Amino acid sequence: MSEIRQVQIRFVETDATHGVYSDALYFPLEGFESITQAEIDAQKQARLTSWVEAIEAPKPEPVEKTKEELEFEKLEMVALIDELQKRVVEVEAKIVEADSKVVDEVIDVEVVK
Amino acid sequence: MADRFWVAGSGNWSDATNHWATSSGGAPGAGNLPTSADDVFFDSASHTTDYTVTIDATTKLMRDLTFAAPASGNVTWAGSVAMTVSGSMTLYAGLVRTYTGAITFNATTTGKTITSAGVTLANNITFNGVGGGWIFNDDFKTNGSFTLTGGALDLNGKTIWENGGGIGSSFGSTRSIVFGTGTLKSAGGISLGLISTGLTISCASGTLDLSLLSNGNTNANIGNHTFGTCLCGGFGGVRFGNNSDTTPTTFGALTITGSATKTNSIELYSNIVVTGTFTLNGNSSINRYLIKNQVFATAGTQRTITAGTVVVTNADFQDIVGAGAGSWNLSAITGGSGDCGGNSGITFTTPATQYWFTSTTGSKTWSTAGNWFLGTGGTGGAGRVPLPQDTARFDASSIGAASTTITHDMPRFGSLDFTGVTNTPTFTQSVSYSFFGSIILSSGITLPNSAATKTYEGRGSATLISAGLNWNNSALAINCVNGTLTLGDAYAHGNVGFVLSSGTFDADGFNVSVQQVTSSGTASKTLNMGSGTWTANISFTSSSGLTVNAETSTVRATGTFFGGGGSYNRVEFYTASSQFFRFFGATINEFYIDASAGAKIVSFQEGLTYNIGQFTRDAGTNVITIRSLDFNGGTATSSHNLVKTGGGVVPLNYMSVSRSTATPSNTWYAGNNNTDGGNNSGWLFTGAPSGGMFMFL
Repeated sequence: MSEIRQVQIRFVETDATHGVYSDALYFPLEGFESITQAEIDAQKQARLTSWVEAIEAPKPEPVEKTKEELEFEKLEMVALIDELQKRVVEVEAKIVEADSKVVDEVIDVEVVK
Repeated sequence: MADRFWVAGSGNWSDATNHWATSSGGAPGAGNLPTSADDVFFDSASHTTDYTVTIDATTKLMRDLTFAAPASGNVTWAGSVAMTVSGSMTLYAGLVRTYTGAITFNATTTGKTITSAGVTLANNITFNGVGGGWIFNDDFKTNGSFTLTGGALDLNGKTIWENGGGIGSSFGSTRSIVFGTGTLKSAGGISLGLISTGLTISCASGTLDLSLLSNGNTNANIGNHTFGTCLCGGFGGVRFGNNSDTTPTTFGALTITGSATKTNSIELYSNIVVTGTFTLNGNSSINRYLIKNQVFATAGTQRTITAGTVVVTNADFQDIVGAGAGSWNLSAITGGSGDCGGNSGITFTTPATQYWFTSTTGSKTWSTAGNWFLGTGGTGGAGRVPLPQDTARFDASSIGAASTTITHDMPRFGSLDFTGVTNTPTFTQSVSYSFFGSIILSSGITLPNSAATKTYEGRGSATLISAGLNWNNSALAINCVNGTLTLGDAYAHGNVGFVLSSGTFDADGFNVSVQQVTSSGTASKTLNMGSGTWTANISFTSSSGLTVNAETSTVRATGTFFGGGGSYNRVEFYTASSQFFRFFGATINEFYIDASAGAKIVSFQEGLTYNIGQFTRDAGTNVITIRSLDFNGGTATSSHNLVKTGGGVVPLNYMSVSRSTATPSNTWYAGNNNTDGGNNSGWLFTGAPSGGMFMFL
C-alpha cells in the first residue's frame, strides 16, 4: 500500500445533539511539522460538521430494485428452494428408513411370537 | 384402439360431430372423439386448403399424433389447452404452429418416436411414462420447458434444444437420457441433479450445450453425471455442477467461453472433474470470467477442478483448488489470472502496484489499460488494469490536469490508494465491486453519489480509510471468510445498508454512520464495534454465526434496534418518535431514551428478557411510553421482561407503562408523573425514594 509515511491523529469531538464523534486525520510525515494546530483543528471541525450533516441529511425516497437486483434475489430464492427440496428428500429418506426399521421390529416380534 | 381422422377443415378439436371420422376423408360423428388409445391423423383429406385446428376445452388425449399437410396449403395448429400423447408424435415441415399448450408424452412402452420436421414448438414438454421410451428422429426445439419425469429418451444423435423454459429432471421415476452423439441444449437453465437417484445419463460422446444460459438463468445443476463435452457461455452467476451430493460432475471436455461483459461468473455447486481439457476463456482482460464456490456454500468452502489439460485466459478465481495432470501455472496467461483468495494449487499472475497516469482533463475509465503504468507518473512501462491481487495507486503524479473524472467500472480490484493525489479528481463508481485489500481515500478527491455496493472479500487484514468522505449511498458488505477489515478513520455512507456476511469488521475507535447494520447467512462473522458511536439501525434479526463485541461503543439507534443475541455497551434511542427494541440473550450495559424532541414510544418484544445495567432517560417532561409488541410489531398478548442488573434503582419520570414486567422488585420507578397502562408487574408508579441514584443525562 501507500509508500508515503503518514502521521495519524486520532481525535474525539462531542456534538450536543448527536453525541461523541471519533475519527482520525492523516498527514504525510514529510512536511507535517509545518502544519499548524489551527489547521488541524479546522480539519477536525470539518469532519465533525460533515458527520452531523450526514446524520441530519433527509433520507432519500426508497429506490426500486433494479432488474439485476431482482434477478439476483430470484437466484437466491431458487437456490434456497433447491436446498430445501434436497432436505425434504433427505428427511423423507430417513422417514422411510425409520419405517423400515419399524417393520423389521414388527417382523421380529412376530417371529418371537 | 382405433384411428381417428380430422375432416372438414377448420374447427375445434372437441367438435367430433363435425370433424372426427374413422377413416381418411370419412364422415364425422359425435362418437369419434379420440381417446388415449386412438391414433390421430391430420392428412391430405382433412381439407382442400389451409385450415386451423384449435386445441380447446379440456386436455386432449390420443395415442399417436400425426400431422400431414392438407391437399394444398398448411395446417395451423392452434389453441392453448394441454395435450397428452400416449404414443408417437409426427409433425411435417410447413406445419404452422401457434399452439402453446403443454404437451405430455406418457407412453409406458418403448419405441415411440418424436419427429418435429423443423417445426419449432413453444410448449412445455414433459415426458412422463414409467417404462416409456422415445427416440428423436430429428432435431427438436421448444421455446417452452423440457422435462423428463419418467421414461427413456434417446437423442439418437440429434440436437434437443430447450430455448427458454428450462430443462428439468430432478424428480420422478426411473428415467434416462441416451445422448449418442446428440446434443442437449439449454437456454433457460437446467436441473438434472437435485435428486439424481433414478436418472441415468449416457453421454460419453454427446454434448451438453449450456452456452445460451445467461444472467436470467438460475441453475446449471447437472448432477453427478458424466458428459462428453460441455459448452458454457458468458454466464452471469449461474450455479454450475452438482447440487445433489458431494460426488463431482465429470466431463470429457469442459469449455467455458466468456462474453463481452464484466460480470461473467460461474458459481460451482460441487467439485468437477475434466478428463480432457478444461478451457476457461474470459472475453478480454477487462471482461473477465470469475469462477468461485457457490454463494450459498459455507463461506470459504473450496471447490476442486481436476483437469487433464488446463487452458485459461482472462479469468479470476476464488476458493478454487487446481488439481489433476494439467498445469495450473496461470502466472503468464493472456489477460492475467486473478487471485480472489481461498485458492490453492494455482500459480497466479504476480501482484504488482499499478500506477494511474493521465495527463489530460476529462472523463477517464478505470478499465482503460493505457491509463495504468508500472511506475509513477507514466513511467516503468505499460501496466494493466488492476487484478484482484494488485494495488491501484493514484499518487501525486497520477492526475495531470484538473477536472479529471475517474469512472471505476471493474467488479474486482485488490487495494486502492489515493494517498497524496493532486488535482482533486472525481472518483465515480459505476458498478458494484469486490475489493481484496485496503482502500485509502484522500480528502483530495471528490466522491459523488453512487449506488455501487462495495464488498470486502479479502482473506487477510485490510484497512478502510475514508478521509472524511461520505460514501454517498455506496453500501458496504463484508464477506471475507477469515479476513478482517478495520477502519482507519470514521466511516459514513448514506441511506443504504451495511451487511456483515462472513469474516470480521473492526470499527476500532471510530464512528460508523450508516442506515442499517445487518448480518446475512450462517457463516462465522464478528463485529468489533470499537469505542466509537454507531449511528444506525441495528437489525440483527438472526444471530446465526454472529459474534458482537460491543467493546465501549455507543449505538444511537435511528429506528429499530434488533440486537440478536449479542451484548451491547450503550444503546441510545433518539431520533424516531416510535422505536422497536428487540434483543435477547445477553446484556446491555446502558440503555438511554431521549424524548427531548417530543413524546416517544419504545416497544419491547413480548416474551423477551432485557438485561440492562442502567436504564435512563432525558430530564424532560415529554412522556415516554413503554409497551410490548409481538415479533411482527403487532399487538402483544403478553409482557416483556426488564431486568435491572448490577444493583441500584431505575428512577424514571413521565413514563407510561403497559405489559411490562420489571425486576428486581423495588427497583423500577415510573416517577410521580406516570400512567399505569395495565398488565404490569414490578413497576412502582411513584417517584424513586430520596437518595436514589438518579441517572438523568
